[in-house]
Amino acid sequence: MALSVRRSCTGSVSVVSKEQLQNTPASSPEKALQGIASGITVSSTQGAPGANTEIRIRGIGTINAGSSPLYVIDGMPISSGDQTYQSTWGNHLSLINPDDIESISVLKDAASAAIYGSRAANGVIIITTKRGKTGKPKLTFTLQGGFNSLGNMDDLLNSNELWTLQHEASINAGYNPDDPTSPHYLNPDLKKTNVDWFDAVTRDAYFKKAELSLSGGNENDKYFMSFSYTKNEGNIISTSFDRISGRFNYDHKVNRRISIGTSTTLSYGKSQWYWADNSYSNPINGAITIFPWRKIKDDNGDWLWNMSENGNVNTVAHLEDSPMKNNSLKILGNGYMNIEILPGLNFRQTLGVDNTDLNEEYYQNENHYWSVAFATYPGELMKNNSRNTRLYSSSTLGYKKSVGLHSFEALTGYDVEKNDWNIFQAIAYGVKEDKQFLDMSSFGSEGGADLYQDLSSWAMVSYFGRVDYNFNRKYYATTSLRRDGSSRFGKNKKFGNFWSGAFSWRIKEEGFLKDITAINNMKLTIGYGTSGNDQIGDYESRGVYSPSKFRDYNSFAPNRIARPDLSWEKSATTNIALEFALIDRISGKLEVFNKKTTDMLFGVPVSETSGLVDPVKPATLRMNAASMTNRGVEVELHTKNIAAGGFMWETDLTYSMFRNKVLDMVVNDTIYDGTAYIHIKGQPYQQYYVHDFAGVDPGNGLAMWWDKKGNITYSKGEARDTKAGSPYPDFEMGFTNTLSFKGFRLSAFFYLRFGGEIYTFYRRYGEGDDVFGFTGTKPRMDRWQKPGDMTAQPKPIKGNPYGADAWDNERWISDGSFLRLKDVTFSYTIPSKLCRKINIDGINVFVKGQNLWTAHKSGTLDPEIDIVSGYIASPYPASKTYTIGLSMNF
Amino acid sequence: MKKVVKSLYILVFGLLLFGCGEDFLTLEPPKDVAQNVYLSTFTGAKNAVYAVYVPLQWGSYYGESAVTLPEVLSDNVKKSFKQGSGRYISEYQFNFSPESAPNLWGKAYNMIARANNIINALPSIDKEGHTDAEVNYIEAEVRFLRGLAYFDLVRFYGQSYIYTNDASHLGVPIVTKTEIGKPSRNKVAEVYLQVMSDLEFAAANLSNAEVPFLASKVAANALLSRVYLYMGDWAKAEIAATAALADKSEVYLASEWADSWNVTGGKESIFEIENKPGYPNVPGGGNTFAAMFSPNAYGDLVLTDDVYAIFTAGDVRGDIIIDDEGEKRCMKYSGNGSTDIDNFIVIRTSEVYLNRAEARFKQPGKASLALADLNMIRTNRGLPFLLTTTLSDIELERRRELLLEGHRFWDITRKGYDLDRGADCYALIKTIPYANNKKLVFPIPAREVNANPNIVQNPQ
Repeated sequence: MALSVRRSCTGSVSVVSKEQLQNTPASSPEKALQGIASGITVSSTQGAPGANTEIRIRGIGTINAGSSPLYVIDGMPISSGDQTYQSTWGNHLSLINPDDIESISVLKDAASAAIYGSRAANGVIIITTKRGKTGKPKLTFTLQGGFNSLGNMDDLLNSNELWTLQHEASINAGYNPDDPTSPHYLNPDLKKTNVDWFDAVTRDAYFKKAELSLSGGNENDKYFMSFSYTKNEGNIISTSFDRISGRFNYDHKVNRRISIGTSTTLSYGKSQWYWADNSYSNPINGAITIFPWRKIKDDNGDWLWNMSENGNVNTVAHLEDSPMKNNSLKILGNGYMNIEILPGLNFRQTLGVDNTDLNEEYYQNENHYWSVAFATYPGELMKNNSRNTRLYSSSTLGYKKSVGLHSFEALTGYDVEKNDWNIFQAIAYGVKEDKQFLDMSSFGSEGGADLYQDLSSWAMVSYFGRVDYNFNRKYYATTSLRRDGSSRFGKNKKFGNFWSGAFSWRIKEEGFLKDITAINNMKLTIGYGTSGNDQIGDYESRGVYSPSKFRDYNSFAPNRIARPDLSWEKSATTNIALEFALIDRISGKLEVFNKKTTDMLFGVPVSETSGLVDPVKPATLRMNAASMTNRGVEVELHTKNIAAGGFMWETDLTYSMFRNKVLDMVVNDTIYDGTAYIHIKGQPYQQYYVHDFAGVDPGNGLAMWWDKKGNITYSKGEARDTKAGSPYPDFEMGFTNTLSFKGFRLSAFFYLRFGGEIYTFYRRYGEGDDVFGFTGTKPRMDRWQKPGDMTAQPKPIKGNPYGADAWDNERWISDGSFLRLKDVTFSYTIPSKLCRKINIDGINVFVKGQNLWTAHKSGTLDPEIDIVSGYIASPYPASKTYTIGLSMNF
Repeated sequence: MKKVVKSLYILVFGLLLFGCGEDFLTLEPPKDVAQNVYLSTFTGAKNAVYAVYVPLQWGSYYGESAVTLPEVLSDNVKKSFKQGSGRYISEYQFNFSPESAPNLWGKAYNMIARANNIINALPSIDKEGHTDAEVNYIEAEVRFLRGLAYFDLVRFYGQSYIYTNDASHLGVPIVTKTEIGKPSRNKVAEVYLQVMSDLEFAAANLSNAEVPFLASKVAANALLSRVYLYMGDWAKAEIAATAALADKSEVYLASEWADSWNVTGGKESIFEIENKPGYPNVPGGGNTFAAMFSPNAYGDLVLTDDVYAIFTAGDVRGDIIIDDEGEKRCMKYSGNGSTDIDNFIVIRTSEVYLNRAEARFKQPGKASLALADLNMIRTNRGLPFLLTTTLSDIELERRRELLLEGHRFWDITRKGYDLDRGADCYALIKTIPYANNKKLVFPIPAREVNANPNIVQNPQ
């Protein structure tokens, strides 16, 4: 968007300033948003540096289409999310240096976002980087360092405990584990070895960051440039994320009428990653599966790769000797030219490019358990090279005019965007360890190689216009219209129209309030607008045959059914906001919204006799079907509690809540998605639907279930499914207190998420029946042992004839509420009088602790999860982070 | 004013330079091809046939479940106490609900849709100078696969053929055209008619040029002999078996038998799904059915005491049964992920002899012919020549020969026998009388029932 980012007077916008961003050791800018702005939920789905982040603005606006907001940096929409093919460690935004950011604005309602039209349905995050200002050159040097600690997990069973459970389980099944001739014999010597696999795969992780920036300028030339380097270890051994980046922002006035400028950043990132999914390959899940009497290395110091009694690989060996790496290079830049044709009439042309080259590399060691168990030619080297290029052009014509008390501003424009992605993958088989990172010669190994290529593009064209009007800076009105065409949609349905209108009234300016000094400000805004979503597969509307292969024959197989009528998902938001400032001490904003999404890009379940098939979930066909609403309330409050004698105590409070409701799903009133979720018309989308647990029978220690007739059964196969809540919190709150005195400043930020259930997948391993399959966690020790025991942990039974623990089990659902001390920061700015003596303009030092304390009763290690799925694959706790930093201005 | 004009030039130039037409939004998938284009020529249709085989390799089909489930549910296999990946606990316990029903349904229908698209396109293709016989060959090849898919579907989701006198109980929907439909279930008899029609067309129009890795005349006849056996049509089963054996009749000698499991496309093999590293679609990089049985991989599944006991001294088939820390495993599949070795043989000559033995025995006056077929297998497995035979001799031989090849459960239910899973069965469900037979058929997957209200669920 070629608009100079100017605060709309009529929309719902949350702004995060550089003051709030600075001193934040976040590795990626979007991670800094949580709790600071209302209506935004930020979840790191993996607590690892450089990994992807889920951001939800005002609940969930859509179901099957993408639900990430649109990111705009310095006026240009950019790629976000994950570009990797093999991991999820390619977060585009992690290549943006947070220190370069002047401010982040979050546009939440349609009236302010409408100018971003089409893709604004999930909200817009506008990032503005720092630019030079007139004045003498300013040099800033920043240094930060610290470490992340997972703390002491102490949650896995030790050898003694596991042995006891296995012993008991055999006896409970009627076998004799003490008879050395029995296949059920359990050797007491096993207890002699005890490895804590959680400790083995985790560590305290250090990070450091250095940045140098220079800014300055005169009337005609302004510049900002920076260089930064950051190095982050992950808490999982061998994982890391490093970034080196540079930025150059420049503005030049050619003459009275013409100015040009650029924002350019170049960034290189490098990471080593782990599998963060729900499989055993995830090292944390591995720690729960691998028995504590299994050693990491043999007596010669060689890896013991095979943990096959748990169907697993030695995860330590995997991390150390089957490394998974990637590196990426991002070029993000745009240039503009502004021509003032007549006074007030401006033409502006912007051109931009956002290009990321990503290389991924994975070597599966020749001795790796999977190599030995599953490969004909052990040792597998995979290399992926991918490139994502986005080109952007925006041409706008703006006109500004004031006549008396009337002010007008009009803008019309034309945007074009094209995105191309491609990947080239090569996998070589039979690659020996000593050759592992050899180049192409690896691809001549005995096992041969596979080559694979994929590519995909989308394009978008937009026409838009906006008119702002205000009378006497008292009444404001805005309206906008936008027409977007997306290449993704069906032949006849590529274009969608979006519009908005908003009205704002600065009540304080009215005569009846003018003289009331207790009220410093009061403004009421009412807005309505529509926006769209096209986040589906690039070619989803086309019916095609795709390449397939059987044996060595190349062929094509049916892939999609043509849907020429597939078109824009639309959402309409009504927003009412009241801004106020009272008695010079209290300021804030109260906001209510109602967002209705229609023509939702929704996967309608279809009969599989159509040949449509999905490997995991029921087959669906995406259609413009279904609708739902999100309604909510948001409050932001800032108070100055004490301001006296250089001492200041300020409090910031944010509150957000939303309620989601499915209005219509077209085909069915109820959709069970075949996993653990059910969707019911008139209720929140996505409720857990799991086996109905009825506790443990105190008489015999067996798990009890409610069956379909409402009777108790021991057999899991007979258990009925029941609704067990939804992941959406009742409300979220952020609460920050800041004390400052002279140069000292102390702030503490608490975050509260109240309500919402979470579904902890890994508890199936940790607290499940199968003590012969998994190590288990401490709560399992509370199992039933004798008649009369009251516990929620059933007795272990070897080969439990009553059925296995299903993963869709009510036992794994728990209350997701938590209160967390997210951030404590103490900083000191050395008085400039002192600084000047050593020729420095200013020095700031700080110490910071994050996630230092959490209160919850979720039964899981970390309840902070993505509110859409509510699902925890693996217990990667949010680490406690300690940082110390120094920044100097020259 | 001059400057204004100049600026307007720039503006117009800018729009021309960066403005785009409607074509800009017309992006076609670069790697794909439209169905009507692809299937419009002989070459396209011929190439499309290969992709019809692909679903056979998937894990919910012959990549795993279609092999493992009929063993796990029967008296042949139990869940290991020693080793495993946590799989097959529910299956061993017979805990099937619509939500956990086997997903062969969707995979088989996917294969059927691939076949139907080709069959329906053939009448109007550009023959590019090819003969009608060549076009028929394409149709025959995909009808072989469609017939196999319907046979597997009706085995999984319908009660056995003899469940009602006229097989009028519910089978699966017969779909011959790809569409987003809501078809209801056809009768089992109708599904078998479809299977026969497809396989007979295949037998009449295919050659034996591509045995065993692609469809062939011998494969169609061999499979027909099994289908007729399931229907109790003994005469036709015998005729089909004889026709198949006329084309391929060799069986391994006792001395060769154990090693024959390492041979790709061996002399008994009639239709074989070749899995090799580098072949896409091979599940998880390896055929997981082998991993489930093998101690070298997941090894979740071991033999029951019951089946171990049927192998007597001298039987070479007992020689590949190993003792794995007190548990017994049959090493037909190495499970070393050596996917070029662990192919799955859908049908082979030994089965056809046993099909014919059973079919002959059931017909009056053919006991001696049946005995000859039975002895053909016995003598080549190190067992003594028999002078007379009973039905149970033939059934026992079949259980020995086809262990872990995905037959056992169907070989019990198709005859209306009670299921007895043996003394060492530790599941709650140890026996199922045929009369109490709700458990003898899988539920239709919930995903289908939810999307298609015309599907009547199997009683739970």
